[in-house]
Amino acid sequence: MKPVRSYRIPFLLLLLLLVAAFLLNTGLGSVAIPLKDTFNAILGRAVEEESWRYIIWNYRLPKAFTAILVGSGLSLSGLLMQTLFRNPLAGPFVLGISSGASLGVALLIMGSGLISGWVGSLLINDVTLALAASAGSFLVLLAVIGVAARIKDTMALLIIGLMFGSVTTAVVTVLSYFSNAEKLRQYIFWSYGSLGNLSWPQLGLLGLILLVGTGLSILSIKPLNALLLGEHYARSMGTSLQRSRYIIIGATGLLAGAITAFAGPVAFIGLAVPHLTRQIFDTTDHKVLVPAVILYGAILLLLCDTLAQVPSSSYVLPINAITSVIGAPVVIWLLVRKRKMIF
Amino acid sequence: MSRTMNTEQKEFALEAAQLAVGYPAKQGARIVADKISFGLQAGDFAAIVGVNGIGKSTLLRTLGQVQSPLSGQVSLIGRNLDSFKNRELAETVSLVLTEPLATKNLAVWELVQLGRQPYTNWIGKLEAADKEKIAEALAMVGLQNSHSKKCYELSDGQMQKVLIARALAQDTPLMLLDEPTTHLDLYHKVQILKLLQRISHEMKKTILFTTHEIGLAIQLCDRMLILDNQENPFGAPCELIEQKRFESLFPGDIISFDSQTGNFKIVS
Repeated sequence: MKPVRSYRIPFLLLLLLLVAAFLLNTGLGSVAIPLKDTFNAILGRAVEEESWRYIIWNYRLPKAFTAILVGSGLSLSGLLMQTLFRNPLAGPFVLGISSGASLGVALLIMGSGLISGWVGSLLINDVTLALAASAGSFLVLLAVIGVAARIKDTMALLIIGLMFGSVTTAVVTVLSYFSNAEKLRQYIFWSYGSLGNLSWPQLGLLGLILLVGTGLSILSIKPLNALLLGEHYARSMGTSLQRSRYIIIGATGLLAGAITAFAGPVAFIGLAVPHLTRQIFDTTDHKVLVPAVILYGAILLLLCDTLAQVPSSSYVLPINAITSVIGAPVVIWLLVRKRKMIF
Repeated sequence: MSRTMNTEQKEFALEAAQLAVGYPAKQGARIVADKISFGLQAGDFAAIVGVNGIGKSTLLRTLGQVQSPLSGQVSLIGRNLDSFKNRELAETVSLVLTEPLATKNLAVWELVQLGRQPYTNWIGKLEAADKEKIAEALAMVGLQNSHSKKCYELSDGQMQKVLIARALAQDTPLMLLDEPTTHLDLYHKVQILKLLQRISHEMKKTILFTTHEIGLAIQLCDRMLILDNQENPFGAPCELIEQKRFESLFPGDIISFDSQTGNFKIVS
């Protein structure tokens, strides 16, 4: 009897795909750079034109790494939420993380405009935006955890997260209503999500936070597997429910919160990638699913970003639009083809 | 019957004394059932019977510490239930519940191997001994050839066997099952109950389950606990029949108990 299937080959393929997607992403852009020179620039060898090296090192590489971090982090937190809530519709933002971040950013952009005129607009830059987003999502997450300590039912938590989301959305609506067009535009652009604004030090910080979040997720693999049978069974098999719940929520908060702070509320990936992954990896074991969604998410966002920058043109489309426009039909197609939901 | 003689001397595998079960509330608790006292020995195959809503499942869930007792004592293998840590409890009691699984996409083997969780390391790696236990559990319920089937492909009866196999893989001296025979036809009801009886007698496991199949339970069980909201009698099925305990179980207007056949009949 050897019921444990080896997933070495799919993993190897995904790794190769990741490398290919990474090269494709760095090789294509508004300025056409030959593949050979892209390679040389990455490896630090001589490049035909010095500006190409600059573009690749200061623009394309950080963006590609951001795509990898954002894609894998969101997908992982999506998987955590889907298993914790045993709900295929759950994603990284069900706990109100993105709405909290939106509120923080809306308060910064539109609030500063209302109060202090031009002094306010000086305050708005990448760093303050990231801080406002973190503060917002952190506060909402704190509220959700506070509620989680008082209730026993995990499903209620899902509803509470949605309610927090509604409230913050309402506040943002009120703020928008009183804002001028310029501020509104600034806010809307933030809400599109963006992978291209991170410097290397910011990237390092994001990577570090995601590393901690991923570590917590790996520690949760065993309880996640137990939760597949429901909370009563999980408990009867020795899982400490409350502690696992905190760790899983904490991991999601770190992953989705940090990503939203640095790249805005990137939609769809976190919900879709776990489903796409289950189509390839026919297992429910999180020992397989966790690394698989990390790889899959990174690949998918790299590809989406490649399309978003519309190769050989100077347009860059909002990443949120591309993830949904490309992703949603793929998910629909997969579900129709298989005629059943794998969850 | 022969076992009743030396009940006093032996240590109980599962014992309840003056137990009250129900749900705590702000103003006084909502007691579902109380004054429950009984003791089961290693290898006993026992059923809890009673009308709908009398508290069979609540009692079972309390014994498995899914919920806390309102008052009274529960001890497992001579130790108070409160003194068990999560992990120790997982090595002592395994459950088969009625709640639907979160996902039916699990393969039979994946589901059964989760039973090994109390014994595996931090990430749940299965050692050779674990795999052996899993194979044994699958063989015991006769599903060794369907280990890679998905749960959504299984019939209700097979699904119940998989859940029992998972509990077996957990390798506990006690096994609690909540209505293991619901949704099954008569043949499969008997099949499941005979399987459980065999497990309890061959492997010396104490198995306690709730059921509405009183007739079958009378034929198969070593002990029965009747929840009637008054005395909650407990004993061997024939003792209970002699004491005419089943007669008052249901209102007499539609069905009555026939002590000759050990079954209920429709009043004409």
